[in-house]
Amino acid sequence: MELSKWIAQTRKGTLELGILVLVRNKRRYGLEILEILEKDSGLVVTEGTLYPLMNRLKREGLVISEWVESESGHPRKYYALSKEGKKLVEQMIEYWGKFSKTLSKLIEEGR
Amino acid sequence: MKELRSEVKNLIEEYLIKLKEVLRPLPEKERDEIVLEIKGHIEEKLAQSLREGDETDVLKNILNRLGKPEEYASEYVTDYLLSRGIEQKSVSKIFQGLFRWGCSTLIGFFYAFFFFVSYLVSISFVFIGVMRPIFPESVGLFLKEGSLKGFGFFTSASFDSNTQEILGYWIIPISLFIGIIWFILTSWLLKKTIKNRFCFRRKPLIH
Repeated sequence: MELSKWIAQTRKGTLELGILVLVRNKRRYGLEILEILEKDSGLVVTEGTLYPLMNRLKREGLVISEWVESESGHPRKYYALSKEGKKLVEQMIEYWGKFSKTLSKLIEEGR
Repeated sequence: MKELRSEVKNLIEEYLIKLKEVLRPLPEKERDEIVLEIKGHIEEKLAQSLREGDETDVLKNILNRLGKPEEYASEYVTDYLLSRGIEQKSVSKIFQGLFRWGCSTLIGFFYAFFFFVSYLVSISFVFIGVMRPIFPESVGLFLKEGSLKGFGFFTSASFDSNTQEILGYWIIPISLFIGIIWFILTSWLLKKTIKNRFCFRRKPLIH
């Protein structure tokens, strides 16, 4: 398997978790999420992926949205977790913890 | 907010109008929200990056990243058609969605192709059952000296006199049955495939 393919697959599989975690304790708007992902993580994502994805997460009942006027005069669409989303994200985080621990252990043992 | 050049304003306006147009399959309210959200994105990003160069160039960069309005809208429209199609059991929405999915990604293309062929097969079986009473000589399961020569609809020139049709009128219930079961299985598989596309779905979609 080519490295770039594997990286793309891994990113794709973890993008939802990354986004849900970002709106876990704080409501955020699209551009803000894009900027954080771009700056702080390997989860680089384009506008054309993020905005439709937020829409889908909303459709699926995991996030809720509200329009808020910013100081600069732009109306922003803020996203936050719904009750159902909160429940799911806690489960995802728990699973992720176990998963990454197991994998690190495997890597250690394989040295 | 700094006043933008009219050329820049026009470019943004043009993009948004086109975007709203290509989002046409979606309900008015959703289209407006999508357009408003991306309008905010463009303007805010533009305001951030104005120091980096000429207004028009900066804007063109931003729009390039979004892709053409058709490209930007495509994910929204496919999502909408497939999920609403399943909810409303709307064949036309599902097929439009499937077609769009097929055009946008390779995986989608394989799925769309597979389901298209599978539905065609089920329709062919039903067609054979229906045609038997109309063309009794041409439709059937044909054998020649114990080996299979053909199943379906044939012209009289296809076989010589040693070839026999063995099902008789039984071909009607048999092929109708296979066709309908095939159709139901394909639809079931299609529904599952579409649901897997939306991996987090737990409850029916409510708007």
